[in-house]
Amino acid sequence: MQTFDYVKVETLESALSAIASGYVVTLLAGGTDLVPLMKDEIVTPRALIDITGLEQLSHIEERGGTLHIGALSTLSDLAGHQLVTTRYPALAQACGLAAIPQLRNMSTIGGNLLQQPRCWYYRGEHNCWLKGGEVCYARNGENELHAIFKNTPSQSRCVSVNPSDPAVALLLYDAVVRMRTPEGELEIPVGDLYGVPTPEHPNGVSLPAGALITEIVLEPLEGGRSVYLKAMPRASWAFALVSVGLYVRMDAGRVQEARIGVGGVATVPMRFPQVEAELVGQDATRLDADSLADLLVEGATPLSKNGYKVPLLRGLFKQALSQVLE
Amino acid sequence: MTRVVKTRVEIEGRVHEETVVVERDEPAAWEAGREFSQVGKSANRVDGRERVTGAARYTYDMHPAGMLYAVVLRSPYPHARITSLDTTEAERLSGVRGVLSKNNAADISWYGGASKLFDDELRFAGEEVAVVAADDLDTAREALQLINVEYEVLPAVLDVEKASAPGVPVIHPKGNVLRDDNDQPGETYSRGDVEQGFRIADVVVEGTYRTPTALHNSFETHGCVASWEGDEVTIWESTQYIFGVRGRVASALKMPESKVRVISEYIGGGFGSKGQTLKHSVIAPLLSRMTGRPIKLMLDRHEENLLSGNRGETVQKLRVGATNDGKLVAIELESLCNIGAYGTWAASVAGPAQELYLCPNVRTYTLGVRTNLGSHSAFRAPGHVEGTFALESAMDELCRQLGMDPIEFRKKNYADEDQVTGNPYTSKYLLESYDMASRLHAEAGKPSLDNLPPGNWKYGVGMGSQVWSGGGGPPAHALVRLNSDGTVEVICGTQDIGTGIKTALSQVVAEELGVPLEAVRFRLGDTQKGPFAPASWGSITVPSVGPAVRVAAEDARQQLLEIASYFFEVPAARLQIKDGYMTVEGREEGKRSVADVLSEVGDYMIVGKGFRGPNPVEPLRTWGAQIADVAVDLDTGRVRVLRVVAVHDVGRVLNPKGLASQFYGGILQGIGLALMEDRVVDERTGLVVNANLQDYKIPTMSDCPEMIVQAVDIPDTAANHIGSKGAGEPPIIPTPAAIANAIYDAVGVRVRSLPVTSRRLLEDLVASNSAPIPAEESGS
Repeated sequence: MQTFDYVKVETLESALSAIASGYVVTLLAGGTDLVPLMKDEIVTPRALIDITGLEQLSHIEERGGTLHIGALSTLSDLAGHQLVTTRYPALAQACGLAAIPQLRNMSTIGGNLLQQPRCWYYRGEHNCWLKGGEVCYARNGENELHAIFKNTPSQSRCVSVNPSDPAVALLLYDAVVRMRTPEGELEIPVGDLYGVPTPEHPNGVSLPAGALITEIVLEPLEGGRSVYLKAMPRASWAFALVSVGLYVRMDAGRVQEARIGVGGVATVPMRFPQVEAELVGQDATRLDADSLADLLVEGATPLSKNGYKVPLLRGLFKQALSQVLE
Repeated sequence: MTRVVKTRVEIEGRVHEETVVVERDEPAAWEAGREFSQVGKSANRVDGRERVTGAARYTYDMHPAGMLYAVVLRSPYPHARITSLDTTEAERLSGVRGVLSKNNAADISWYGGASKLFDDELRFAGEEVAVVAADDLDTAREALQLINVEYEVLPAVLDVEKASAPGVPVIHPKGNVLRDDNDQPGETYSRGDVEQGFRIADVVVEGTYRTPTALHNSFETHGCVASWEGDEVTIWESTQYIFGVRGRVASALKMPESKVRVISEYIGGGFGSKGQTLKHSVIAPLLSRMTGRPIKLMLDRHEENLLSGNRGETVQKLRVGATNDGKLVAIELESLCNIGAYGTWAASVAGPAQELYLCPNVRTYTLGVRTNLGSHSAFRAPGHVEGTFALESAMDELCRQLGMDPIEFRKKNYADEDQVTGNPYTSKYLLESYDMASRLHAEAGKPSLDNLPPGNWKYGVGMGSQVWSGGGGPPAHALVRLNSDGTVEVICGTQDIGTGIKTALSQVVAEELGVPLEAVRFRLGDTQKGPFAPASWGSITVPSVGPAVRVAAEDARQQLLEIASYFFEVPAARLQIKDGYMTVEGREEGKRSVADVLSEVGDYMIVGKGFRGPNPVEPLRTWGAQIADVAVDLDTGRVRVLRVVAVHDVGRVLNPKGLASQFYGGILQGIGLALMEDRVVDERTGLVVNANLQDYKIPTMSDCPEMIVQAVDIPDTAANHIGSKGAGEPPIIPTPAAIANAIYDAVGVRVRSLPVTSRRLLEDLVASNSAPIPAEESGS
């Protein structure tokens, strides 16, 4: 690990002024991603600002029907919080299915959204494109864990997948990420948070200079049911091969509103508006899950070793559908 | 009394002749049905408390004063030649105390002469280039970046199936394949007439079966701490074989073995890879001598997974034939084993095909193939796990084609004697294993699918069976010291790699001496103290060292009785020892504790000496059967193992609780191999992409099924006088096969390649056109 400066801040203001100092800094929250990256010297920050002391950023509370989640809330907090489990169960499930209890107790929701790709080329010895090298080794290499959507060379040089479970659930609930910047408050919908990964922003997130995520805001839902399902290479402690979040609101046996979030399939968590539109208006007892699943995977462009993710996504989507329509 | 004899010893399928010292006549075997006070009773680990409280000091915990840290610069290429190497800049870095490389190290031959401790030619990514010793790890790591190396990159061979093709570059002085003593490639075994067998077969099953390269991932990585005092060196080492490390270091450093002391009191797991002596064990003493300071050289997880050994991948072409009445008439197996860059032997993949079933016509061919990857090593029943997966998958397929019950079929093809040597076995209770496993499985009922995550789950059941060695043999020696305070110390040069050997062998000593288990302290893992004991591999420790400690305890007991006879004023033969008290036979009055009796003679220490006698002529085998219940989610290709019933014939059970642990661990490691473990190598760069615990998946507690484990527990009195066989390896052997057969039962897909990941199963399900689901309906 390379040497670095370390500052622990006690107030939001001191954090913001440290960030705005012009000195290149990196924020340290749970550290479950950052510290291993530093040990492997994949990221080499000059200075760390430890924000774990900012108690005002670990709230989970309702204000006027809207749920506010402080950026320092841990995944454990979210997985077990009554407001989350009852109103936004897919978020609670996504947090509860991430990693293992020890890691969930440490990792914050803000940090989770910003974690770097888990691609084994990026994390390992290969000098891949994302680390400033020439090629994406995964594109024609060991790509069984990689993207099946938005992965053509013109769409993205990197074919890793966004590893966050909560991001998929937050996308499902149209959550908004709030941050403080030197210019004031800023709100970005989770769907707009992620772009194509680049060597400058391997996680695909390019926040304005000096930004600090303060909270995540979820607007109330008009009823409905939701679920988050995750396929993993073992029973626990693994990133998703594919994950599906589904929200459906019914009225008189017909689908009034549907939202589909999918993880593990692209550099970004994905929504599928076309399939969502197709679901709306359908009679729950008669809908054709197979043709909806076909529509969902239409346009997939699997790589040499991840074609299995297509039937896996179909299967997981059908299971999610049967659960919310149950 | 002392005499020298020659005896046959078999370890992991390899037989050799051993010349051994027999000190005196061995005691009679503990007969079947004998009443014991300690043996066969469940005991907690005698060192459990020190392990869980952190009091146990592992290699990594050693920190002699003035110690330096060493790290290794490793080849970034799978095959390359060093054209220039300059370490001067690294040597100048403040805090660096020494750099060792081909520029300044003596020529020390390695890998059977194929290479050197530091060689110009590097044959796998991760091979040693230079080593830096510095005040701390960060400085040492920084110094590595200051070493200037130029490499000529050479063509690499990575594909085990193409390594012996014409035109492929030769990567090893002895060629790309292993040759036998007659310089012929591969190992061939044959009996009967296989062609004739297939001609009379009514049903033939054939397929190509593949098993992955699996990484040991012991919790504690390999490594050592070395420190000199005068002309003697002490090495704390995480090893399965302290005397092996001693011998290798002594020969490399050209010094007498008695001046090399190797200590390994606690080991954080060893599954075969710690039976070998790796380069760090020689490098650390060299650097220590060079710097005049103790050196710690521990591998990190990445290094551990690149170079410390593995279960090499296999490709097995298997063909089996039977007549309509269910009699096996032919087995033919051709296997390739990836032995990595420097492997010197091929795993015994063909063992199960040769021995597990009665079959007159068998031909096997095993070819070890070299590749530019880390060398393989022993890994818990090397070869037999892989071979059993193929053979038992084929037997399951044969049973289905014949319409026969898998256990009925196995009983019909039961071999009463060893068909390879023509001898009877010392014991074989495989029939009992089949029956007990069937009964336990039936009694347990169908496992619940209620606790599974939501899914389209299909239930299936499958079985596998197992043959393996596990007899051990001489030489193995031990001392038992009976102190005047009544406490007992066992001194033995064995090691407890986590199997609980300290506990089980303490029970043997307590039994023989008639003292409580708490009175016994087992001291092991130090070449300077314990008499010689063999490596902890091949499931040999209990059957090799167990008899030696029993003889030592018996010797001590006899001396105690003779001393006590003076004070009790009766002949020694009339005295008894029980629970630490001595009495005259048939009398309760006058009872005295052992300590009390010994206090009469002042500070006298009784020293009993024990040895392991020669082996019987008959081959020794362990046996077993496992039945797995699985659930398969048709939608996602997920497999969950719900339950495994395991019954093994490992002779007399010394500690049922400890044995159960061995069974649990073997089954869980078998589940890993069956469902998730797989070293992944980038084909273009030859680099391992998942040499870490994030990407290389091993089972977690959530993957752990219900396990119902049982030993047949009939002593093998022909094997040795304690009647026990080894148990460390048998329980992993049938697990992958049983799981694969259960998956077929559940979804009708015959998976011939491990691990059975979602990817593999979904690909196979799609290929078989969403396969017709077998008749039995799922319980979900």
